[in-house]
Amino acid sequence: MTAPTLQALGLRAGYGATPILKDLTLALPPGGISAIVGANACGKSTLLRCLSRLLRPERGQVVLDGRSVRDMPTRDLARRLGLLPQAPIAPDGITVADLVSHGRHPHQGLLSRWTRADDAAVADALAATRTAELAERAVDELSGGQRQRVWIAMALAQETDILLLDEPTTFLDIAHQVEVLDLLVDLNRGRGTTVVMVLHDLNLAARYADHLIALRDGQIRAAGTPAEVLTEEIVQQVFGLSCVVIEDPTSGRPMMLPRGRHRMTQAHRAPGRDPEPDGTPP
Amino acid sequence: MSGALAPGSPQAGLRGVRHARMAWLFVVICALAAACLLSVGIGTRSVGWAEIAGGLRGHTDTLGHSVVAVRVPRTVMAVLAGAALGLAGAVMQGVTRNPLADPGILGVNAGAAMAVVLGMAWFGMARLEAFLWTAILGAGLAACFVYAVGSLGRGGATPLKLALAGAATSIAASSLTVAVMLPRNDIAGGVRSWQVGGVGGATYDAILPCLPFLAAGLMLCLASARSLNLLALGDEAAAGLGARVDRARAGAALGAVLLCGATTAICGPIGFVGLVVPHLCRLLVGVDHRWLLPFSALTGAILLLCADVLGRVVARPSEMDVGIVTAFVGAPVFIWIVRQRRVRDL
Repeated sequence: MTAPTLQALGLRAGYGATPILKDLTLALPPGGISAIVGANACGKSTLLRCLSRLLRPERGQVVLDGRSVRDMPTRDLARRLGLLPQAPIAPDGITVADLVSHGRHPHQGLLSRWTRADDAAVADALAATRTAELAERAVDELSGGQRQRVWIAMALAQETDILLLDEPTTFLDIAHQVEVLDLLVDLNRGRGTTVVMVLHDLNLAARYADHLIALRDGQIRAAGTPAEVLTEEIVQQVFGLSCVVIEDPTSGRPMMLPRGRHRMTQAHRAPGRDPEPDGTPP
Repeated sequence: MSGALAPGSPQAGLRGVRHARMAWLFVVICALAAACLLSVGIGTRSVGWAEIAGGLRGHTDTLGHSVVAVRVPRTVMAVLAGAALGLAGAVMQGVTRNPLADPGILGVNAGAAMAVVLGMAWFGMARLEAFLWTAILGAGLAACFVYAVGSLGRGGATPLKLALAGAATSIAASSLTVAVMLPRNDIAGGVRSWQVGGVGGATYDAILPCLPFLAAGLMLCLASARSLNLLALGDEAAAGLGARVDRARAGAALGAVLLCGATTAICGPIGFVGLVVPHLCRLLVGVDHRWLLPFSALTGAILLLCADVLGRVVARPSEMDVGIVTAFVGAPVFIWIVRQRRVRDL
């Protein structure tokens, strides 16, 4: 299987009169893990919604392997490109196995029956996310971390080449955030799935993604490896935040430490800022 | 399902659920058969087995036979109307992802009723076929209006906006219906008895013309079971799994509109069946619409049959209309359901 190429060409999209994305063009590295980062309301989720065809761009198009996704039958697209939205709904009382089975929908015809391949895909997805022992539990009884693994299992059962995730770590504590991101790396390495996610946490994004896309005001400010994108200058431009970037001793990737107005040592106080206004001795 | 599965594996668990559902299906079908027998046998005048057997074969030579011959179409009507309303309620709860939705909430019944009353008042409509077309038209217009209003603004037709638009439309249509009817003494009696809702006057002549609509609605609703399963995950997740969200929602809603319009035309608006039945069925078979929809139809039929029989028994020698009975039976059950189960936030 050759890795699929997903591109956005000249996207202009939004919800009202003023577009949120303004002429945005990008190519996502096939077979890699990409993270889209940026300040609130910069268009991260809008971009993800366009890529997954949830939102129709006013101009431009999303292209998968040279074909506009608009021209592809919905079900065909759903076999190539999976989506985990930020707040999916688990119907009351649905079991884990039932929910994960929904991932097989695009693989089933109108009247075709559940096959061995469907069984195998669901079992693989449960095993990969270590949710097999939860299979008969109701989803609404699970903890936040377990539930997110179950949703990822559903997306895995869909067996797509590309998986888009909108802030998959929101509402999770740090241990579960790391667990979910590790799981996505497993998936990327084990199955060659191209992973594209919106992430809030810059440091986790830099650690787990091979490719960072920093958005500002609906346009790409920087895109490239974490070392290229996570710099003091770009963080300042994208988030309006002064920071120090150091090497993460655990991963070797860059990580950023924000400079605030308080609790800063003399050496790291933001340049040009007054000393601590509350009179704390330096 | 594959052959050798370790007990406790997810597939084995699914199979256990399947067996439980098959058992419930058997129970429900038996209950439906029993309810049909009760409906033919019990009433202001009780009849014996021999008379039932004779009446079913078309004999009308004794009074008992004649009673049975009248009760059979009434029973058929109750089965059809109950099944249609139960199914429509389940579909509408799925379409709007709103546990409190029913044909009443989406304004469909009120729209159908308004159309029929306007037809009676302004066009002197009195024939059942005319009621039928008018009611379906009214139900469809109300549904389209509610969907259009609910789709305005950001995010499209969300469950909350649909429910609000439906409730407002329902109230507006009911008010208009009353406003039209009040000054018209000539039609008030006919409208009132039709409005309360009943299957008592059912004849094959009344049932036949609505069969095509009920059949079309049934097909549309059952065909949308899988789409409804996906819609339950939220519009975005459904789209990600390859559902065409708007088309799926419109198709299922059209099916429900046909069912409600046709039923309302014959029986008047019957409340609570569409609201209560899907909740009961969810307790039995879970949230999978491929099971929930047929169960809702069967259980709706049982509920309406029992309500009709009860209405004949409690007010002897007179009868109580089925719409009143379903309200009395349905409301407490509904309150019980709301208290038992956590009703999901919109």
